[in-house]
Amino acid sequence: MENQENELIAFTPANQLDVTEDILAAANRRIAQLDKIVKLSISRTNQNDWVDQGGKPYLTCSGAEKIARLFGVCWKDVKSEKIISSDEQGQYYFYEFSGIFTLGSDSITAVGTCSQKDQFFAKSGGKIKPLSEIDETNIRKAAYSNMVVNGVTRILGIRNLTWEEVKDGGIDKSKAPKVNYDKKEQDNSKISAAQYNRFYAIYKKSGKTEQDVSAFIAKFGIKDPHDLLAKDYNSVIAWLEGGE
Amino acid sequence: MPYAFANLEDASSLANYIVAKRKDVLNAKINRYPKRAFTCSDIHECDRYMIHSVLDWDKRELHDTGLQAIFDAGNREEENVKNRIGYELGLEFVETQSPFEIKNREGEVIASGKIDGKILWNGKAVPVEIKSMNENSFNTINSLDDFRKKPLYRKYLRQMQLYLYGNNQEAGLFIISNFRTEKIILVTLDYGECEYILSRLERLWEMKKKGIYPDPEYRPELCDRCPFSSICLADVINKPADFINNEALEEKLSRREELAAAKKEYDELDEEIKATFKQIPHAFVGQSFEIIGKEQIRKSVDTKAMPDDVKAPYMKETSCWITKIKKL
Repeated sequence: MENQENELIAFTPANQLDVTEDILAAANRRIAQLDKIVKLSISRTNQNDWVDQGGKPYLTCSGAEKIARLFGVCWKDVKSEKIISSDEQGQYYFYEFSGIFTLGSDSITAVGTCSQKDQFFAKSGGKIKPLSEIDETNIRKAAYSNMVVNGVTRILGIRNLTWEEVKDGGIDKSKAPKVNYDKKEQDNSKISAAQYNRFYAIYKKSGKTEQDVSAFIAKFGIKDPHDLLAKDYNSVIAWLEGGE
Repeated sequence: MPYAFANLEDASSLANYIVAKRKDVLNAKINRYPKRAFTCSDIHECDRYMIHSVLDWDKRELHDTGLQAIFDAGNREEENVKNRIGYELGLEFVETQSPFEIKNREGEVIASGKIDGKILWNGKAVPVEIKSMNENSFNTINSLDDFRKKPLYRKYLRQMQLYLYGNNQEAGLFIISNFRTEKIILVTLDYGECEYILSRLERLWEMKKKGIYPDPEYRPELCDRCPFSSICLADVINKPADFINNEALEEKLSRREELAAAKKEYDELDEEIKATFKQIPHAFVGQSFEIIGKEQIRKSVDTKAMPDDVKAPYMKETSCWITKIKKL
């Protein structure tokens, strides 16, 4: 009896649903299994396997590899190509990797790319780096990593997770590395606490009144400086420091 | 004249400057260098890596600033160790960073390397290789056998063996450091091991000359951090974990988890109470408990104190299965 209780019964992976089953029941089962996959996947990772990118959790290649091992995701026939392209600023290259990802009997083709113009590699201090300063191996590796992450997350159906879902799996957003591109001009996220503190220090020194500040930041559609967007931050600081 | 007081903005801008400048300094040191032969400190377990390392040195993925900081700390620690155990103990380090080469039967240099130095002892020079590592790794290494546990440490062994072979030396020392203290581990020249490494290097050298890459073989412990993974393009084969649906078993695991706290409390109380009654042969507590104690003499052999050569004939390998249970 004891032995019977401990009999191990493997459950069917999410991708091998019996197509003859009632579609609704199968869909419900798939949702339940997907929840399980998400939870198990996240539990396999740690905070270093996630990056906070523009407020969204981005799984790194190391995290994707751990999850792939858990579920037995395989990839093969990986091909890479360096593609030369051009735009109004001239010629540039990007790497494209593609590979066939399999999980049980399912398979997909996943693609990963990374361009010489990728902000992470191409910009420093708000300026475009000269070509000689961009390491091509980094671009190639990033494209490969991008393919692995895309392939693993797509075949398992764990794309577009939110920080809430990731947090449920025990990953602390505040401990995950944060990618800060040179994003002053396009970042729609609010300023950080450190930026606010700097703003406050400069404001106190500026001789401007609270009313002055309220009137100025109203131009950005906000009443409280805590709500300043990163992209507007430099304009406010410049104004406090004596600019127009 | 006293310095002016810094305000929040000053402190904040200084912090930003330090972070950015430190990153720049580290980035400036990250580079790759042309290779004509294999490197004795980088005899990797993957044959394909070895060929990439020479033929594709310019495509090697650059390491990050975190790893560069570790390399820098390691280089500084090498000097610290030389100071601690060299100059402070009156020992003399000579021939530091002396290069050596390994040639094949045709006289071609197939591998080159360096050893950190030699310590003069009884008028002779004892080769020494210094390796610094974090506290956790340091604690796991207590003998030469422990070097076999990880791919990185196995590279250290191959480096030392090649050095001893290349310089016709019988023995050398590993000095491992946790940035505070050292462990000294004796290494003797192992001809069998050297023969294996050399025949492998010769075989790979011939492949390198013909531009032949061995077939890729995915080994997660080697491939996942490989700087050539984006040009190697090995097929990745992962075996999935078993996913088990068994409510009874899951309930038992849950119950086990619930009892863990009680077990811990029991163990702590048990230890505390027994410590209280040490040396007391017979006692009663209230009207409910009788406690009996007696001294026992146990005989045991302190295997840790035994020299390795005495232990060696009695060594045997047994297989065991370790199960770890983690609540998700």
